[in-house]
Amino acid sequence: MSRKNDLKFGRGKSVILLTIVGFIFLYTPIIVLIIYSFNYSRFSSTWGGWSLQWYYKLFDDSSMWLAIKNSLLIGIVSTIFATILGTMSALVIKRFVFKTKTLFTNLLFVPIVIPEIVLGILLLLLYNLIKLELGLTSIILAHITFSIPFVTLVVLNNLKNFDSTIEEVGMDLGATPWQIFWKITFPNISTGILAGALLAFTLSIEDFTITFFTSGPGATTLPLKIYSMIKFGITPEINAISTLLVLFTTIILGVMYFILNKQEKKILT
Amino acid sequence: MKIYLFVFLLIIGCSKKNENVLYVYNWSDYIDETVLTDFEKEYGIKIIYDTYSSNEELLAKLQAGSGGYDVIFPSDYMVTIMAQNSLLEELNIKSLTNLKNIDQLFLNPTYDPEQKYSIPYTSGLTGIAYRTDLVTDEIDSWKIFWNAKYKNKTMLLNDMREVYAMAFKILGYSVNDTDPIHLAEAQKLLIDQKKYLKKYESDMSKDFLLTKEASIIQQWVGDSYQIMEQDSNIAFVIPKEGSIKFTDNICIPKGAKHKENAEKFINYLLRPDIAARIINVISYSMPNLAALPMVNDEIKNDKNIYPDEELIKKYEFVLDLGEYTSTMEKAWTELKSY
Amino acid sequence: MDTSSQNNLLYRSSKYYLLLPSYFWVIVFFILPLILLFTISFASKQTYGGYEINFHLDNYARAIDPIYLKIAIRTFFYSITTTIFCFLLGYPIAYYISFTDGFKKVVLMFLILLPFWTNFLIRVYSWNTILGSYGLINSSLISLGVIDTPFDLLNNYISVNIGLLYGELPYMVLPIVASIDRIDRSILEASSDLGASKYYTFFNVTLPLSMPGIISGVVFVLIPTLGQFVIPDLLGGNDSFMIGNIITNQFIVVRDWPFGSTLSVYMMGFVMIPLYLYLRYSKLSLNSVIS
Repeated sequence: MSRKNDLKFGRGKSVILLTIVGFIFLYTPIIVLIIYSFNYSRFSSTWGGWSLQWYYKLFDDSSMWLAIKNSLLIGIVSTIFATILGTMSALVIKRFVFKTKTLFTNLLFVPIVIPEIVLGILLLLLYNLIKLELGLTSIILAHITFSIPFVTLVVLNNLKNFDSTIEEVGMDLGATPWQIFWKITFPNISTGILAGALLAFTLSIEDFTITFFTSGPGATTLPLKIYSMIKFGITPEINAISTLLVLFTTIILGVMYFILNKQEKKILT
Repeated sequence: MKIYLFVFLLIIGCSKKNENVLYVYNWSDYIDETVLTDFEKEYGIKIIYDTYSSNEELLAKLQAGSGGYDVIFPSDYMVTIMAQNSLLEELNIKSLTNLKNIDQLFLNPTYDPEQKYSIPYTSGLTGIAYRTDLVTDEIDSWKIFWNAKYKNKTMLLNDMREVYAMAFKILGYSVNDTDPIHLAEAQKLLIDQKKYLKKYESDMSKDFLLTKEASIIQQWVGDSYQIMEQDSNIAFVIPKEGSIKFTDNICIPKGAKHKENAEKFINYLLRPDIAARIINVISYSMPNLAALPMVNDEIKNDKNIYPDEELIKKYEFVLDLGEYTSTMEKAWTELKSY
Repeated sequence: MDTSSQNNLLYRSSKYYLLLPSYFWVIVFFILPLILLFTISFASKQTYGGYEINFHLDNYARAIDPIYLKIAIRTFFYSITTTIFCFLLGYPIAYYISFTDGFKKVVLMFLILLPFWTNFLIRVYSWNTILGSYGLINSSLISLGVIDTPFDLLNNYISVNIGLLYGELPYMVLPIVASIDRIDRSILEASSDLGASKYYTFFNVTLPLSMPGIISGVVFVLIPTLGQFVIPDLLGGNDSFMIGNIITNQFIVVRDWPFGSTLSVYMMGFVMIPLYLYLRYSKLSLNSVIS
């Protein structure tokens, strides 16, 4: 990739044109959102002049803050669990050959490829059967469920570049498995684990469908809150929160880029 | 190891819910929000407030195991259903000192004859809200929804009983009709209507009307008045065929964890000054006689909000249909899928 | 696998247990509910919710009623058009990005990824502002004098398809970028040096070599679209119900869990059977397809 693209691949007129069309398509709604977040009028069909009132409203909206708090709590807890479990399974899948390995690995990854709505319903049925009250706990369990396979996948891909003979050397020198893990394996795959954790966190924060089926009283997450705001009366408050999300993300990713510099691409993908 | 400890603490932290809170599940746009904050200040109880848009949604939510709400607002027939299925707590009537403010006519209703489970909150009826600047015809009938002129500009409530009630009324049947042949007729009529329908939608339809995406919608009276306040080109009419009138109630669902707080809240809502504030915001009538002097005149004197019997003689209360509910629900799913 | 690790039995056996928590998790939160879903799909609904388990096929028969078949066909149609359009628009973007480098590439990747962190519902819903009767497109066309009456762009198949395409596009771009990145640039140069035209090189070298990315892109676009219910809910009209909407309706409104479960079983079948056949045929493991 560092090679110069002297032959100008991907620089045909049609490619450039379609790329521009694609980015316009992706960004028109986002730009419209940002502009209308400053609209004084409640309706996007009329322009009532510039105003910051929706931002003030947003900061006063305690249910919005509760939703953000819930989302962060669910995101953090489920990410920690999913990262630990996912990393553990990735290590085993990478290293050992056992008879039913393909079956078992496939089984582990199935939750990624079934539609989210089905996973949401599966969990709802389970919770109903075991009489688990729907709320933060049920959402956290659900998010761990769909995050484990993603973390496993990311860590597994990262392990591909990891030469496990170093571990064996460590073993021959008499290190315990625990020492081997912390002194050798972990530092080598920490990028993968971090990437997996970041992915799990993103999925958790963004998830609507599965949360929709597994949430209960007081456990409204940000996406659920936004859904009900859209359903029960459009206000530019929604635009304001999304503008802040764009801003926030840009800042975080920008900072991350400068800190991690070249590793960034890997983490994001 | 520190991580485990941290996680453990977090889990403990989020599973502990012993704060002084109250989980309220209400219809959307069905309360004055300042009333909630005042309650929080006065009683030191934090309210967690969620909304729903149909009785069936509320029932489904409770059936799915969303225990945890402390106060809910089911309509008349839904109180019967919920009481039969042991989804409601018995109220401690003695603690509700403000019950005396309620009109005797509304007490011990047929859907809760002993006043064991419910306290009447509001009442209202279903009609048509429309844009006077986009609709040229005189509207007095549900048949306007079949007028090809308003193709793709009409919206009906996303509410099974409301939609079938409208069709039954046009055909001259009761809203509680349980004859499958009549249901098939209604179904045919409604399938025909889908040609002109934008969407079945209960809440977003109000914004659609305000933004002129829709010009005629089926809507409840108070909700219509709430948008009329924002746009003078919107009007509300009671169709001559009649439809549904309803009383929505305050109930405590089975297993509520903050029953005492819930009863404090119910009693608070029955206070005349609070009731009047709510009426003035939501434009639904309440059977609260003591509150009436504090209700704005234009609401108090509005025949659509405080209707006389003559005007709404063709309006009926919804009754629980028992086993037949499943038949209608199947038809409803098919209608929406059609 | 390795002789040296076989020497150390302790090391090996001590690692096996690492899989247990994950499998325990998958069994409790996935396999068990799956069995439950199958069981309930053969059950009967009780009037006010809940289910009675008495094995029968009524739900399966009901699900193939023409009314629901129509919805199923629509869902497939939407999913396939979404996937095709995602590919047609996503591939050039991925191709362009893959052949940039340095800061520009980071910025472009960031622009593709940014939507992931801004809420999906808001992004989809914002199309209302653009497509409405008095929205951006219609009001510009009217003020330009192109049309008199606004186009119906909202609450129909047009808005739903735009919403689906919009929501899924990044999921197509990312895996393709990764797969084009993996192609050894010297192969492309060699092809050029041997006198192949750019088109020839693209269709005979680049495109086939980026196939793994295309396949994971297709998997990541097609499957979520099949199960979609929010986009038709927010942008759709009365003719844009998808299977996901019927399923949601069974659980959220009419409390017919058995029928909802049956539809979910069908949906899983439609996803899993082709995927299974593909894996059998291509001899790939699932993780190689989705990574």
